[in-house]
Amino acid sequence: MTAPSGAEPAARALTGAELAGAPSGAGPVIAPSGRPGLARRLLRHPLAVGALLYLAAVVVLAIFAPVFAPYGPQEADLTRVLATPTADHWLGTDSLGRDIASRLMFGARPALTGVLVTVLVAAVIAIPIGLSAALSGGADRIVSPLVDLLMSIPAIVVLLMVLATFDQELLAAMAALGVLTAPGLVRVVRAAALTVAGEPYVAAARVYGFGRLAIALRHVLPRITGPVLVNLSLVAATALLTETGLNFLGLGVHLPEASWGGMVADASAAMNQQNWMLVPTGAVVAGTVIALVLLGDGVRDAAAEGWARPAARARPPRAAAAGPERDRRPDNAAPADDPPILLRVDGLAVAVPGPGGRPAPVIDDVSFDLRAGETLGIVGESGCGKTMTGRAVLGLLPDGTHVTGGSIRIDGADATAMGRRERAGLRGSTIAFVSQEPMAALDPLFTVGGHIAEAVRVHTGAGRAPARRRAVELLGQVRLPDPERVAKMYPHQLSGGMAQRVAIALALAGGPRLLIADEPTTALDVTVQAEILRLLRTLQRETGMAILLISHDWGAVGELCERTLVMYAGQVVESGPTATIVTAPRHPYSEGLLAANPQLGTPGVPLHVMPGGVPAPGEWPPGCHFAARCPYMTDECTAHPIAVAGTDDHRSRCLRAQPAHVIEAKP
Amino acid sequence: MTEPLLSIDDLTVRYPRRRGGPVTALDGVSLTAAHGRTVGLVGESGSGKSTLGKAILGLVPVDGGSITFDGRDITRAGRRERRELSRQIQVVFQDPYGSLNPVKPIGRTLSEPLRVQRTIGTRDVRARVLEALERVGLPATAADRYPAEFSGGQRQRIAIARALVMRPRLIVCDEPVSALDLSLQAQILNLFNELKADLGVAYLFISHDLGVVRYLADELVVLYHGSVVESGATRSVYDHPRADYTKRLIAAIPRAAQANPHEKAPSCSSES
Repeated sequence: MTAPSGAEPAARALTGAELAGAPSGAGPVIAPSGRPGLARRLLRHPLAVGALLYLAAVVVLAIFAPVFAPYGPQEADLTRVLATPTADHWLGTDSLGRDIASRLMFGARPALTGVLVTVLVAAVIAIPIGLSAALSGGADRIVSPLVDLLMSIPAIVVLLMVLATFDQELLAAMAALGVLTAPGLVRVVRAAALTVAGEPYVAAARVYGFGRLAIALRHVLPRITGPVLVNLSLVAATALLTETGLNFLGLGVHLPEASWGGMVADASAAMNQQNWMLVPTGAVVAGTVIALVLLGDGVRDAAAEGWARPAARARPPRAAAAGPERDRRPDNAAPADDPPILLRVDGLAVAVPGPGGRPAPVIDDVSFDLRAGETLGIVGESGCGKTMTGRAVLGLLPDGTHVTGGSIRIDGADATAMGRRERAGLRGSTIAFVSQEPMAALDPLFTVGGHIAEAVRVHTGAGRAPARRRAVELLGQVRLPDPERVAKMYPHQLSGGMAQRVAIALALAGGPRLLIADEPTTALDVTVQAEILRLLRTLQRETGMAILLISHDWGAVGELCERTLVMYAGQVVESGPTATIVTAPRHPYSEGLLAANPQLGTPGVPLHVMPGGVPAPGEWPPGCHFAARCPYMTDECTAHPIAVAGTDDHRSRCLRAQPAHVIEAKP
Repeated sequence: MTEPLLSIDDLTVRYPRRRGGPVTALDGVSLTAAHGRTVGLVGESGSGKSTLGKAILGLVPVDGGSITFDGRDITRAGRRERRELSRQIQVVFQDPYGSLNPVKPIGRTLSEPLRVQRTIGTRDVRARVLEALERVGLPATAADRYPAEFSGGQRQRIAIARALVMRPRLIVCDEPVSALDLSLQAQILNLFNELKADLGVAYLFISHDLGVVRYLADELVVLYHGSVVESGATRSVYDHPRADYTKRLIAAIPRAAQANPHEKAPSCSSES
């Protein structure tokens, strides 16, 4: 196990689904409907189609074996034993001169029947029991221990007993195998169903009067068909191997009758004289097992495609070369004689793999400066690129996402040109990160003090005892009462507010000069939110570090940040002092976002509504990204990209902000 | 005053624990909701606000007290009675992603509650589904699509449509806009108000966000550790909080959010 350090928890925290889903979160995404049926969809999976064709051929040849087989299963030609393929016997003959192809066809009959019996028995037992265990606590108390008990029974012993009792009746053994496989399947069904049963739509179904049975059949079962099908295909494969094994031992099919296992046994007996015979028999058994598994996978995928959104499959191209060098001021350039610039983001562009494999931009031409000790907010809705901007600065973009242009300068050094290791060295010591889910940054196996001490040691090289003392100091610095006691606690003992304080202490361990806080208060209770914001402000004053606060909440940004960037659909649309933007926004999006805040609405008066939603990455219009929702839109807005304009202090990406335009304000 | 639509009296709900005694989630909670009004229920996580909603919907067993809906005791309603009640009381949950079954087209999700009733013909079911979709501002073609094709805001509209097909008189809303972005949140809040005005539906609106509740609710109930610490007309509670917890809640609203470029800050005298 790797010990936690200041940077790595941040990396872990960032892998949350919330981040990965952010760029595609909103926007009108009504794709043309009219989906093909399951069979059609299955045809799109070449492996599954191959498996299906193979299995169909095996089934047809087995059923019509008397028709297709050139010889009878017992028809021996003692003049030609152990022959290799010839025109008469195109798979050769066995030690008694029987045609191998014919015997394989006849041997498929017990094999397939056996598999069918096992699968049916297992499914019929396991699905109802697994579902009832998931949906009823009472049933679960009986089922779960019983399943554990049954799974410890050695299958082969039971099978041998069944074969002894039922006079070597193969189907009885295969049915018994079904019963023995059922407990494992019960576990799968129960686990999958439990997850689904916790979904709010199941609660909604209960509200409109569904009983347990109806919920199980209509809501739970359709959702779990995927895992159940995959597991049934594995059961089928196991059953086939078991059937072959039993016949290999001579325990199932009575001897002159053809069986695959029996043929393998014959082949192995004759191996020293002629080893060809193993090839067709082995290939058929292995091929059937593989086909069963592939078909299970294919059916599961095809079933899910019926309702899931098509996923982007294609891999993105390698990171493109950085864009042309540009000499331009960042969107929030501040007067020159201020503290040194700590972070300069210039013309940053980031793309994710889009539908069809084409890279879809999620960040387009983002530029800003952050000076030492400054607090900067990034405001916007999901899908606007705020989190991606933060991740790009941290150098922790999700897989497949890459910087396609512009530069990120940290302390004057171009971070986009740095290697992985150099970049990781910046995290924790120069840049630290606090996420929305503080628990994600904490390993449940380590105490709070252990976490922080480890981070301190990684960043400062301090010894154990001093690191420990520093950890307690940091816990005190984030205003946790009784830091000594908190240091000894484990993450699960912390409340949400305490955990966020601990995560902040962890971020401070390396003495960072920039703290990136991504929605640090969103998951917390209202009163705790206010405390955490106050804490961040105090820490900023005490340590002089810069803070980049990413938030959807104007209140949080207003509380903490001197300056704010408003992002919309991957672009900075407005930047300036927070107080100015909040009272006199220049961009229609900032204006709409502020007016939509129910905090400020008058009860009984409809809230200001921006029609529609944020366009998804890849669906951005060529002109102003906000044009479709903008009350002031003109023809010119949609013609070409809009540049950022305004004073040094307050800038906006809107034609109305450009001096050449005299704008008539519409009511 | 006429009889309230919903009346909760001295309600107690306890959750059993594996070890130790049960946890009391609700401890003697009383409140009433009038026809066509919105009652806002605020409190922090663990205050019991969601449990109260679940108790009304029959999703958790009640340990004491009573729930009266439209003059009839529904505290321990059986399955058949619940099915019948579902025409009157409906629910909208927080999570727009988990609240719709992803394997069912929207039309199926919306028609299911109607079919359970077994009293409505197939053609009427279709008409009711389309009516509900139109009501929440979605096209009729949405009925044939799957949840994955819709954004969070659209899904929440669908969840509201599912509640509306039953033409209920009370909708329990458990944090219905918390997962939505500001601009979508405003759309949904306006929709709630339109439905209230047009259909006369009452809401029990559960939220941690005092700002949302202040905007939407006629009455406010503040829960803290399973008990009601304050209740009354929203405006008076908001402007003159009495309980310490309510005061802290209001003080926690960031100041910056109260500057508004469009409207004057709400003042006590501007409205009646």
